[in-house]
Amino acid sequence: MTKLVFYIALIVLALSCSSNSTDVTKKKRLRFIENYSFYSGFQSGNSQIEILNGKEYFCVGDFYSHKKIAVHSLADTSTFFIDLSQITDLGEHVMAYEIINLDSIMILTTVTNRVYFIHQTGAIFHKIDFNEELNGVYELRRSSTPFQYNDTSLIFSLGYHGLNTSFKTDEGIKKYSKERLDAKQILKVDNFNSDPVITHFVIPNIRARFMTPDDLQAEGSGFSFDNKFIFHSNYSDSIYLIDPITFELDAIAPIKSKYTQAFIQPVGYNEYKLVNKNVISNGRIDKVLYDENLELYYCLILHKPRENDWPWSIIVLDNNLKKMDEFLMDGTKYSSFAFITKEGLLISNYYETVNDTDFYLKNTMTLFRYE
Amino acid sequence: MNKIVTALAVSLLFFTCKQPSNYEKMELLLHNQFEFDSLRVIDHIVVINELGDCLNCNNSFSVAMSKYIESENVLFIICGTGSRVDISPYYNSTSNHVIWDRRNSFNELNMVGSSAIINLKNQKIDSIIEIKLGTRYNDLLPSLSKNKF
Repeated sequence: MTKLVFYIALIVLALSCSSNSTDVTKKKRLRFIENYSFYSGFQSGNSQIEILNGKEYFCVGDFYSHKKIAVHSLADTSTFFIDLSQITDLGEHVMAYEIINLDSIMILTTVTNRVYFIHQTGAIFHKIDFNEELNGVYELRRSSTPFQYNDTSLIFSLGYHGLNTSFKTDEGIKKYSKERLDAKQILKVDNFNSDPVITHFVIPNIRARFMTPDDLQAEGSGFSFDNKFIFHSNYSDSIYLIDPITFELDAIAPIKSKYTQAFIQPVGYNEYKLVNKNVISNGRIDKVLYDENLELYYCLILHKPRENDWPWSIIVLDNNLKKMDEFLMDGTKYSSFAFITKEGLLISNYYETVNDTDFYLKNTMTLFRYE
Repeated sequence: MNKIVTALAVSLLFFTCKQPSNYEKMELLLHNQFEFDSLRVIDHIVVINELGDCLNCNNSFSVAMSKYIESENVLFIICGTGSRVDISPYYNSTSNHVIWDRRNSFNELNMVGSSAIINLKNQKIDSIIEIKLGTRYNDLLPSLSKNKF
């Protein structure tokens, strides 16, 4: 009888151990799903995912030579094009676009601070000019997620020019630099379908938390707002969550990579010649994406480069910003150019296809899923 | 006698180790990668690329230079994919004097830091004019404006 109890206990123990080992094998990974080749007729980095009538599209814009946006369905092989030539014929340079629907596309122009509304054929049917609101002090820029916030609001990142700025003297540069660090970062536009629109300057410069007026800022806006409003910077090792209603800082999460230090010490204004070298020779947070379906954040981390080797990794954070995983990516195939789709993480495999004879006619991506 | 032999040997070594000139490097690249062997009839090379700190200058330059597309003594080297500079005026050209360098091989010669005109003379590079803000490129191809266009 004692022996029987002993054997039963042994079997139970074995089964419980076996159950634990199953948990171990369930460790998630970033699984390759499939490769996509989008034949746009051109290659460009002006890409984004748009959802039209509930379907996802991979969109690629060539603003200079072909002057059009190719809109590729992710569900089938269909593609359509949006003509930009009527806008470029006005002498405007396109900075970014948002597709509301197939017959209503918004185009943000470079420097001139205008948003044009066009049909797919390129015909312009409406224009908003923001120069009066910006008063020569600010300039509209795109964020990582270009500029449509929701059905009624737009969000623009702001470049700062300042008032009566002079870059001819050290004094003038210092004054500008201090003002810039105090300046608002975002222009929120409500009721963009109505006239007049309502504008609000929001979010003070988060960089003031980790930079001084003597430091040279050389980076894009750092904001993205797909479902979560996020900020990151080359010069910080953290990501910053912003409340989407009040635009107050909501949470800060330090990002620790097991491969690299993920921030750059800024150079001073006097060292401006070093700025590019400084950026490309150090590790940093390159992009932050939020996956609404899985409730996960992906931080794309560029590592300190080695000779002819540009490694990078993806850090996965849960909804509470706790690190769950880090995946080293194959830098000989993939670049840190990525988007969230319903099916997973779409990552550029540019380096894998760059030797194809038709590389300049297509945009190639690989779908991964965290599972 | 020994000194003469040594001097000759050193001279020989010097000549055999001579680095190719930029003109020769260019000639070699054009021959190997683009099967272009007529550099001797070319007076001006118009390089259009996406380099430098004034992409708008490159853009205007590209459009302005396209009027010389049929000129027999001008070679166009179009570098890159055209996503940052307007190269559309060259798309429909059938001229064999338009070279499509989509992989930016020419940039690897490090001869220019932006779009540029390379003037050639007697199978040498006579001058290189890089396009910057304020460059007046209407005056840059004198042999064309006077005689050949």
